[in-house]
Amino acid sequence: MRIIIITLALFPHVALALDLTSLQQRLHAQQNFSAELSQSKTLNGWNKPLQASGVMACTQEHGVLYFLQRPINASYWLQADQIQVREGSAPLRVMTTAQMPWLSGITQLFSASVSGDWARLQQQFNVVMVKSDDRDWRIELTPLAAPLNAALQSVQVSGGSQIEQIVITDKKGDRTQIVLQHHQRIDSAYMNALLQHAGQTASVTSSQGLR
Amino acid sequence: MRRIIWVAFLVICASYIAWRQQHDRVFETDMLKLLPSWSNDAMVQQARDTVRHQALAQTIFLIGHRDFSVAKQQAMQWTQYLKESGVFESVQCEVAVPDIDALAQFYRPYSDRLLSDEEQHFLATNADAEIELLLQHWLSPVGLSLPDDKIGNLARFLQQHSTASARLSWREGVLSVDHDGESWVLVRAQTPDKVFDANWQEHAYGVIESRRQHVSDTHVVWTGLFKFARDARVQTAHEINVISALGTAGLLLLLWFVLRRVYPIVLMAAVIATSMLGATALSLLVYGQLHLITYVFGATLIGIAGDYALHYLVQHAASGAHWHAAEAMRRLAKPLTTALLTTVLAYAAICLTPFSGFRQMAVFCLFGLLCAYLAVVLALPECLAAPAAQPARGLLWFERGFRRLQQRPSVSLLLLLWLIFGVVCGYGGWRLNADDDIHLLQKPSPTLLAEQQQLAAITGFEPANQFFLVRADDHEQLLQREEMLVAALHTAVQRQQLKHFSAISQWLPSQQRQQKNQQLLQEASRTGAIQQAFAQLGAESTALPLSVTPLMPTVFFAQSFAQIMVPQWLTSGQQVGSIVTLNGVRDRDVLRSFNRIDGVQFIDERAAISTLFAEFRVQAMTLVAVAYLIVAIALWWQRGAKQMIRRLLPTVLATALTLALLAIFGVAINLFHGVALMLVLGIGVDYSLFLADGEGHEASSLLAIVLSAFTAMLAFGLLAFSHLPAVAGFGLTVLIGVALALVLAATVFWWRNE
Repeated sequence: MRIIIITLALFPHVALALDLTSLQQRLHAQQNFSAELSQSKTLNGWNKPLQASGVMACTQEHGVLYFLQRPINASYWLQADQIQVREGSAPLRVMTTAQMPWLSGITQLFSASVSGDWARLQQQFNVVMVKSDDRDWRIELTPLAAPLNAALQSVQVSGGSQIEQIVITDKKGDRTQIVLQHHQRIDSAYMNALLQHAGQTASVTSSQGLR
Repeated sequence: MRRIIWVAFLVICASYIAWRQQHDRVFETDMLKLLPSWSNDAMVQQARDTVRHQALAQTIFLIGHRDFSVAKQQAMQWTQYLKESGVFESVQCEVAVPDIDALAQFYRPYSDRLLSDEEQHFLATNADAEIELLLQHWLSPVGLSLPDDKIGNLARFLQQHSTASARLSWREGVLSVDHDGESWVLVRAQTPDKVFDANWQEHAYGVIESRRQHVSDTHVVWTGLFKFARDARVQTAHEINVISALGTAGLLLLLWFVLRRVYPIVLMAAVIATSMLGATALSLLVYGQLHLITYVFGATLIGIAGDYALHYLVQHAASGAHWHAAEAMRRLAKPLTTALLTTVLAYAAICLTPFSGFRQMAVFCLFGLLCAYLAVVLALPECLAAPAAQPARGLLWFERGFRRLQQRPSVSLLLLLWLIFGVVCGYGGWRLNADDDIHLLQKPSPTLLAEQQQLAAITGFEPANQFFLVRADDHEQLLQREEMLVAALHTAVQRQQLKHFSAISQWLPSQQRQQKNQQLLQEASRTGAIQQAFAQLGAESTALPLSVTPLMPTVFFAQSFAQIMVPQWLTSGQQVGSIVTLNGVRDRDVLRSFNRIDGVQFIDERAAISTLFAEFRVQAMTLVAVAYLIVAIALWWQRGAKQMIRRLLPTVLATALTLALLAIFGVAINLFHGVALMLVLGIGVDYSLFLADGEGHEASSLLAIVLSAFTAMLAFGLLAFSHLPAVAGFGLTVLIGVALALVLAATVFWWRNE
């Protein structure tokens, strides 16, 4: 589950392999976007996948908003060094890398991808282009080092003109599929409104910690 | 012959002190050693020692740079450097990733008995909230999921404690935090047991600071109790040097001004040296170690011990050709012995206070006075056998002043003086207030405090001086009581009265609690909230495992991750106890109110010491009053009521005025002012006694009194510049008191013709 976040951090900025430069340019040009998201978690010990849906939005300025609307209302705002969580009517809480060391991996990846520091990204992941069709590409990432590789098996990202699907498999065999549809370009104002709608206020200083 | 013995005594004392200084710790610098123990309770002591020991052992460094990788590299080099210096017991920079999977593996067999505090509350009282909690956990993209933890209660149990009190986070193998555009990396060092050892302090401080100067583009912020201990020692030692140097120089100058000869000044310096060296050597023999504060107060010896020589030297100068050394000493021996005895009595009274620091100070001064007395009585006549060439000029001025003093002022002037006195004392009495804070004895330099605050701001880590001690007859009862405290502390955290706390029961629930948890989980998964949550997702619920054995303390404390909690787990006699540590305490009163929980005790050392100071302040003031009463009764019995009033009134007035003046200048009264007033009585009464009983005597005795008052004022007055409020207050009180006592002593003449 935490793996989803790792992947979110990587995209839509990552553009590697096949035609690294053109994919990078393509995704970079569209990095301010929102899309409908469908999340499906296939977990060990469960007789059926768990479905949820909502909106995902991203701008270079704000970071990534992961906003689940059904069947629960919860939003997760990924910023440089923390994740701000709003679940139900509970007070906002901030998860920092202090509480979860693997978050620091994410933040590094996040900053690496924003700054286009591909060399640094490749220090953490083994990156393989599995499919290289311009309309239907797929990249597979395998973590190289702790703490990422302790939790994460692999991440597959695929799409055409946009990122359309992310599949994350963790070490326990749990699998999470995120499908993104109906992309649209957004601006800063739209993102701010969306953040507000998702119950994320601009700043939360006190850490309420994890439950 | 006596001169040779005298010199030999000085040499022996000096060599002994030098030898002791070479071989071990001569000065105690731990301020807490001055204080009496505020609790006789063995477990409180044990808990206190544990907490203090842990605090003393920590030295923390933060290495900062704009670029994290540079900061990390510098931190590693810094660590290596400190390790190689051998100053610290251990130095650590790199830390392993916290291994939550290993923790989960240990707790898994008991997972049906473990619930976070929040979830337990929901399961017991609010099914809807529990359903929401479950759905959030299952669907969250950032939740922690553990193997064989379908409901997620184990993950929630483990995560409830990860609310970090510090902002530091794990990054590339080190603990780091970003603050004000810089990345800071943490280096921790374990100090050895000799935190208060001056040699070690200097060595460690030098090692750190010299390196700190060399890393120019990186910032190094560091703190630790040893740094504060060193600061206190250096400041105090500096004061001792300044005070004793100025005191000695002042006294010798004064003597030069009056006598204008070198030889008496050399003798005076020798007497002072005898007093100081003798007191130090003898006290070291008795105590093994001297507290630095003893030495600060001891510097006042210069003023008192000098007096003995002063009387003799002034007589010598005044006698001119009629001088007979042995005869003069025979005459002087009686008042000298009386003076010694009254001062000894004053110090003996100070010995009655329960402060070991005061006792040591009093004993130190007693030794010093005794050495000075013996040197003057036994050796000075031999040294001053030859008569002085001619009377000193200064004497003539004093004779004129002496005549003027004996004239009685008019009644209206007297009334005016009484009125002023009444107003000053009344206003002062109204303004009088007390301050018994521990800051009296601890006043770190602002730069040190600023650095500590910077460190707290960067890391968010504010370890509290206060903690909770929980105790019970057995471990199960202990954990149950701790759980009640933890519930109360959670509320305090929510209300921002406290930032963070850490208790063993958060990791090791009581058996009662484990059983309750098991029951709640079983019920909820069969018919309650858990079952409904599964139904909402259209998923099948599965039966929960049912463990038989609860998690026991013996099993828990056998784990390596639990080892850091072992010191918090206490045993004393038949009782067991545990320490709940606190971070970022905002409201002490609320926390103190948790004492209402059975077996729970809020330990606030600062508050306890302040209470102690307040108690002793009252005791000291009472002691002053009792001392006046005793002196009054003795004088009454010896000389009758009128003569008693005549001799005692000046000092009583001086004491009252001193208190009033202190109050008017906004000085809050504490224990140390009380002790100082005791000395004012001891010294002040002497003046009126000398003047009243020495009727018709030559002006030279007045000169000796004035000189001795000046020297006392010089010695105590210099203490007023001490950085420690306790010492400064003490010095200021004696200064004002003695000055007033001297001036008011002149009133004894006004009674003469009645």
